Amino acid sequence: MKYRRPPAAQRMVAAAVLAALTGSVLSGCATMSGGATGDAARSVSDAASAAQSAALAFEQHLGERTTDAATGVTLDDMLDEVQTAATSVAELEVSTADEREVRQTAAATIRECSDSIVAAREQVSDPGVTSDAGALLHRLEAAADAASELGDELEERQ
Amino acid sequence: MKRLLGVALGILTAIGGFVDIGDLVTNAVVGSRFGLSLVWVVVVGVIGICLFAQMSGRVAAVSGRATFEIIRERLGPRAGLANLAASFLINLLTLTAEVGGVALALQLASSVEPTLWVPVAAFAVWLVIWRVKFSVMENVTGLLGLTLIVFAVAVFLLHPDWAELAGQAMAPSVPAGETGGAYWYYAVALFGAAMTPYEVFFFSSGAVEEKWTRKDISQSRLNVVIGFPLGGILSISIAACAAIVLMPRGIEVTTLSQVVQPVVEAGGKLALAFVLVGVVAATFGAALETTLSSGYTLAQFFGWSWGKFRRPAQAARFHIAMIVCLLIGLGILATGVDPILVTEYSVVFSAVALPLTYIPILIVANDKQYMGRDVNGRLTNAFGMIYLVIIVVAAVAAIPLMIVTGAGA
Repeated sequence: MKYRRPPAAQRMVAAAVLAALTGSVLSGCATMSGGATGDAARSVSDAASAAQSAALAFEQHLGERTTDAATGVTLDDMLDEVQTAATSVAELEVSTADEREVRQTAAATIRECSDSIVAAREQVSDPGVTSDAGALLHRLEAAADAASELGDELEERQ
Repeated sequence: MKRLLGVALGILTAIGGFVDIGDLVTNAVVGSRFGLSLVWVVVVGVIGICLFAQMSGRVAAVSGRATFEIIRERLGPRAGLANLAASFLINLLTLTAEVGGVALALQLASSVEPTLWVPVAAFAVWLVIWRVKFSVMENVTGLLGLTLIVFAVAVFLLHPDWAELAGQAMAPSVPAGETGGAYWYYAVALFGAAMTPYEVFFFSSGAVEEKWTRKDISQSRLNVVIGFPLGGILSISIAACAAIVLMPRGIEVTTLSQVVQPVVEAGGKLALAFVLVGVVAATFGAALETTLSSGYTLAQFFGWSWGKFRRPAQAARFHIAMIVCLLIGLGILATGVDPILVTEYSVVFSAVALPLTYIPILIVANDKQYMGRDVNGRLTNAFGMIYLVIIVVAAVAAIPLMIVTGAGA
């Protein structure tokens, strides 16, 4: 088959590439909004989401609707998420007393999420560790709700 | 009767093989954050992939050559190289995500760390490509992938508020707490996930592997037109499950373990078993396809001997290229990068590469020199032009949206 290169086809491809590149360049740069309070709000919301997910996994485990392996993996994953949120909050640069207080409150709330997920993880690994699994589930849900409320409050404040 | 069974098998494997790690993750993320308000994007994406997959299948059936091979010849080495660079890099990223997805699914079943499963998954991919017949490989992974229907079953078992779900789907809006930027970012990501470039290259190269001729066009069209939309319904089911169970709890999906939580809520351990088999089959099948696509695109651009229908010794560079691609994917995953993050980026960059993949296919499918009387009809071209606009808009918007929204954060 004879080889040929139609200019129209080439122009179409070139125009598409150029359009994509131009769009990318024109987009400029943007940062996440809200300063330290905004960053804290996002981290706390991430922790709340992870704690809620951990609570759901633990509830399914207690109801014997899932396997130990799946519950363990979910709790480990959620612990990673919460720890990432904790690190983000710990690394926040604050310049005012208000922001310092926000950071402390966020860190404490996230820590409770983390502690309750660790307790649930221990319970799944060794059911003899905690006697009242129901109370543990309640603690997880309470930690998730507290983080969720704080996240919303900080979101409104920024 | 044999032909009917062939059609049925083709449709079933098209459904089972439709979903990959990109669809699983993106639909679950979107469902957990936006409910069903982005379902329209899945519909647009499925129509698009049907349009271009049947186009590239027809090109292969009529010409007896893979689409990418013709693109290189028809548009010249420079345009071919642009097509290769974009498609190949996205393909490599997708391959990495799929192998990582297999490892994550096996971790859910076994508790064993995914870093230990990754080499096993990559070796299994290589072994299957090396030893197993193309049709067997396609049919087995496609049929096992059908177990993902458990997502659709779960939607019914969860007894959702159907009116609310319908409201989200029919009157799309940005939910409270989300931004318009994030909404459109995930619209582009969903579109990229539905129209991943490797799918068309694999489809057309597969047609050559299976020695399609003109008489196979109607059967392949049926597979695409029936199988892909039903596969799209699976995608929507994944989003619906997340919208029903995760969204009201304020859970945003960031891991594969969260994707399966709604199914467990609906059907317990039995449903979990089904979904794990489905996820492994879907990601493993897609890992096979992306690995093969890497070999196909490179071999077809450089003019190497290629194809599973040839003995490996007769297509040595094709097989070595695939091994190298698998090793690169393995290397990327060995750094400890989160496969879900790789997936999220791969679907967005897929959207960026869409014009470079689909414009050449449209051009080749209209070339009488290759297609003779089987060139695109007016209706196909009309849809093709509409999709060209959508594809360019998605490609142009993808990176700016990624920057502005902090990758949808």
